[in-house]
Amino acid sequence: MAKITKTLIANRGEIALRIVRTLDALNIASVAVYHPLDAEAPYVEAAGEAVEIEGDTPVGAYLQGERIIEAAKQTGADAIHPGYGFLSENAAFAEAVEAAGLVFIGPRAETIRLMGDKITARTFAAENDVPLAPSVTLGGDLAAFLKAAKEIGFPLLIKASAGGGGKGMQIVEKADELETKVSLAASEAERAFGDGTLYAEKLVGNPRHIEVQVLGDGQGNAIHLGERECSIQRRFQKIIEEAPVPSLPPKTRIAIHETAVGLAKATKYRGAGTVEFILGSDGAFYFLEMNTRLQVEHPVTEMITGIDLVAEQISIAETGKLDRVQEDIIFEGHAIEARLYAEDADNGFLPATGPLLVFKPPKGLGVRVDGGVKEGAEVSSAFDPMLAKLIAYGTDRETAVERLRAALEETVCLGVTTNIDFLARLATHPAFLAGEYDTGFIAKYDSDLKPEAMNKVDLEILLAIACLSGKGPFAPPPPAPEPYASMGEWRN
Amino acid sequence: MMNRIFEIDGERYDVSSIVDGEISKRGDGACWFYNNEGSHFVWMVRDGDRIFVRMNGRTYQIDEIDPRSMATDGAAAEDTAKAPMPGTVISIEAAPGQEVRNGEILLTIESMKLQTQITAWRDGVVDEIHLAEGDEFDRGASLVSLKGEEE
Amino acid sequence: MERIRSHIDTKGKTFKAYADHNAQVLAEFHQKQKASRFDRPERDLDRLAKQNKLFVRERLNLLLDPGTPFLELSSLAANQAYDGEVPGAAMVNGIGIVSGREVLVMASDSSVKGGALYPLSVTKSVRALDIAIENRLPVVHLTDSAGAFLPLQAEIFPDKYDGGRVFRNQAILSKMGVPQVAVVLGHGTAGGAYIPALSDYAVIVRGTGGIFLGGPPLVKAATGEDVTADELGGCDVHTQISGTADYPAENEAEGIAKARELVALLPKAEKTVIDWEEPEDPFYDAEELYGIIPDDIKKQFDMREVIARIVDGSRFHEYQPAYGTTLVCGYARIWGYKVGILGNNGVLFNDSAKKAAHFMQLCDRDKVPLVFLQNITGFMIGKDYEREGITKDGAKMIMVQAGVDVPKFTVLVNGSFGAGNYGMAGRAWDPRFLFTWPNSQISVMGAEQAAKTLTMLKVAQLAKQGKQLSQEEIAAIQTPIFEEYSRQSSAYFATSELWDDGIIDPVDTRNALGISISASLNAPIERQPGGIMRF
Repeated sequence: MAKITKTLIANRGEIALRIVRTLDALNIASVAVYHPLDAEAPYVEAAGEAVEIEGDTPVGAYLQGERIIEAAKQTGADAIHPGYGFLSENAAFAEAVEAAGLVFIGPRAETIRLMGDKITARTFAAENDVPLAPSVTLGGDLAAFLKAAKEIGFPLLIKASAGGGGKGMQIVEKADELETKVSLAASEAERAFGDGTLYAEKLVGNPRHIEVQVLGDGQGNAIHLGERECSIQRRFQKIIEEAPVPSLPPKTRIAIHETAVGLAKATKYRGAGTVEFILGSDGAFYFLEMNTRLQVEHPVTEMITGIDLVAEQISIAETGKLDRVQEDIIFEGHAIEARLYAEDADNGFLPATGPLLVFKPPKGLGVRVDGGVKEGAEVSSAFDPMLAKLIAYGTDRETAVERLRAALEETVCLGVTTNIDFLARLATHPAFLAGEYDTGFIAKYDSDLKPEAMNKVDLEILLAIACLSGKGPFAPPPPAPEPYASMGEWRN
Repeated sequence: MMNRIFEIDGERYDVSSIVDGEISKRGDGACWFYNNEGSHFVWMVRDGDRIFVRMNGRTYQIDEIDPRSMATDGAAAEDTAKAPMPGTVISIEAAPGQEVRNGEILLTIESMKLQTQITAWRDGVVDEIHLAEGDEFDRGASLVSLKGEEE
Repeated sequence: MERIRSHIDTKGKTFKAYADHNAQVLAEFHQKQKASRFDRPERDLDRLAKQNKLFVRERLNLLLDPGTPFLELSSLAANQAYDGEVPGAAMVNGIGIVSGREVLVMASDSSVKGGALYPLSVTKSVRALDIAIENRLPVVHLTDSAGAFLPLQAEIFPDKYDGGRVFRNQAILSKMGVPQVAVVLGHGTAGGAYIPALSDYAVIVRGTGGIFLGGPPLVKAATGEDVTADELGGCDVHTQISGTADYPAENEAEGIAKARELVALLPKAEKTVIDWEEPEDPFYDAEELYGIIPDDIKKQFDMREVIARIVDGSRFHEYQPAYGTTLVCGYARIWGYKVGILGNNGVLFNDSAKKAAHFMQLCDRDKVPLVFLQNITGFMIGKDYEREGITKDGAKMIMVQAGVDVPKFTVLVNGSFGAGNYGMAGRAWDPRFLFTWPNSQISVMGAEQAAKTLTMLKVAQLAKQGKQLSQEEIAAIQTPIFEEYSRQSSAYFATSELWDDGIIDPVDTRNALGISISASLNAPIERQPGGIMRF
């Protein structure tokens, strides 16, 4: 274990920028890699050095493991941080990095492999007393799978073994849809992850999605940094997350923490990871998966613990030790994160593209913005549509909620359609304010969350502003000179 | 009097181009809009014919519609292209019934050693090509017609 | 400048009596004007609709910028001629704003006899173009005229200021560099064809617009050729083949929109700069004028009270306040423009005539436009005054007035009789604009005086022949003379004959003058400086 002096970030966008911030704070030199489309991105400017990469597609560039390792060697980096997504849960890449003599800031490859495969992950979890929802895996025998799936009962959730993020997922309400949805899920999984293996599990009715942040030293010691509530999702994409989880019975909270830590210890987990659970309304919770990387929503944990998770990852990578024990972790206050996406929330959440002509992130008290774009950037469909994370912190949930609301109101995004108004409606919904919601929140309150009709006054003002915004195809006449202008519509 | 047409959320609005109010721009997108009823602080930016406004905590997108792109009152645009000068038809690139885009080439004519492409003057469907390849024609002869536009 | 201190008791009996009387006068005026502008036989409106033509005022609404004023000139022209069948002399002229530009609009009113030109129509057109020339105002022609009303051709065609003068004025306007845009909305036959031809830009509407020196019937009669109006001189003929018109338009709205575009492209106005400050509304309410103007032409009132309800802030700097008190002179602002005002407060005496001459010289030297508010019965007559040289002094006033280079604007506030009209810049003295109030009267002398004088002459004549007349017989002679005089001296007769640029409601005087002054500044003010003579 040696001190890291220069780290290459194998990622882009907001997480790359966020990692650079910590590297700067730790006086570690940073190297960014970028596809030409990202040449002007803030993270590229912020990094100490930058290396251009290419691929068949823009996203593909960031999956070129060999090229990235080469770039690290070229620039003299001694470590690679994979961020989230892309190569972060690619065991082969982790191995290649270490084989190249570089430090992979993340878990060991075997842990990645173990937890990366949903089926091996579940098997391991079961062996380690982690509760699981009844499920069955599609091996080669489709008929047996279908039969077992039917036995589990409906509704059923079909999931891809190889990946997440909603791809390869299907909800099956009735037996007669089973076969069609299974083949749909399989082909989607094949396309997205190169692996069509599926498993089916009982769908817990409107569960809550709770996850626990863990840190492990790779030797079998692990601690948790609290849980996060991630139930506000749409099509399995998280939109708003918060920490700690509101209205959670203390016993359940403790049990979830302990289960997560237990699993981390059992895998001899190294670095930062997240154990995700489904919590039913009856208080029972089930293991969902373990993400062997930093999560998008990690900032809310950082806000309530005061701990820089990227710094922890680096420290563990350097020293192989945890520099804290569980008792050292103090939880204070409440944090909520809202994800700003370039999408049309009022029209089927279709991804939006366009120039980000005006982008004014919020700057209020207790607000943190992890953004990956700057004003003037062209938002294209080449990459993930997430523009920034808006995180609000307060001494209690009420304060955090109010600060989030104010931050959302303050945020200005013009030029490309974003979900900012939708986020504002989510964050002010009574159910959200009460902290009483589950993964069915958005569907349940669908009509509440629709935008209000425009009122007449606002409409008139908008139309007036539209006229004044520019000349349009027919330039309006120049204004009348005086004294005519002051006389208005006078006739004799 | 030239009215202006804007579309917001799928609804079209026809407004007079004389506005009750003024706008003062700060340069970074922030503006103050004033009229007799008061003043409003808004964020506004215009990109081509698309206008984005953030006002009272809501984001709006307004599209300015070119009135000429809307169907006119019955007396529709010319449906037939006529020859600007005498010449010969060199080649025909479209067929009756074919859907064509504004600017798509329909036929090529030659005259005075110059070749001219006759292109579609709007999106539409080809109704009839009045001549064949090799035909000679006089100035003003009908060359190609598009089907009349419906409302 | 100090505000005029009004001494009108707005709650008093006199005020009320005058106000009631003037309410009637104004009601009559507004009713006549409305009828002249809008009352048309049903069949004429139907005909327009069938021809797909818009009513002239709809065309004006399409042409003028919304939210802008329009000063209509001589709306009651020909109201007492041709049996009242040609209201407005079949045209609407005025000054307004098109695409942010100050222009003079001349529009045929085809709802009146198809827009035919009567003798007074020609007078109205020539006057409008004279205004354009004197003030260098661009002109927009909205032509839609059936042509000359042939039965009266002798009064329409041959003389110096008849039909030909219209086209001569257009040509001279062009030579002066003043632009003209024409929109052909109907058939322009013979003379009418020249209007677009002499304009810088011509738009013609397909289907209804036509330009031809001889229409189809004339062509058929002259050469036997059978041809439709469209084939002869329609839109396509002139925009594609002959080049007589520049822009085809599918319909009137399009044609007028094109005209707006053309006006927007005209060179920007280069206006003469005169002393101007931010305007201020008058302190006193203009409506009070109704209680200030008496109910009888013989009753006097203080012209300062009128001035106070026209000028900015009711502020007036009176010149020589203690001398020549029957003529009020002073500086004020109207819509910000500094002007020199002359207003009658009685008969003109030697001193008032001399004061006027001196004041007008000052204004002329300092580029201050002059505004004349007339309420004058004439110069003082009598032995003493002749000895003092009233004729000579009157001549001084007239000489200076005629010779000033600054623009003049005249309003007949009440009486305008005899040489007083002349001294105070009546029609013959080329004020840029001359407006009258509905109560005003204009003649060589008052009707009563004239009737009495003429009757006395007649009685004396008959007395020489030994005839004595009874009271009734005298009255029988006097009354018709009085009535005829009254008729011919009324504001309605005057405006019918186009002796003025229109009757206006007194409360509109401020705006009318504001627009007039603004319009006049399109022309330069060339001055020949000379010393000021203290007469």
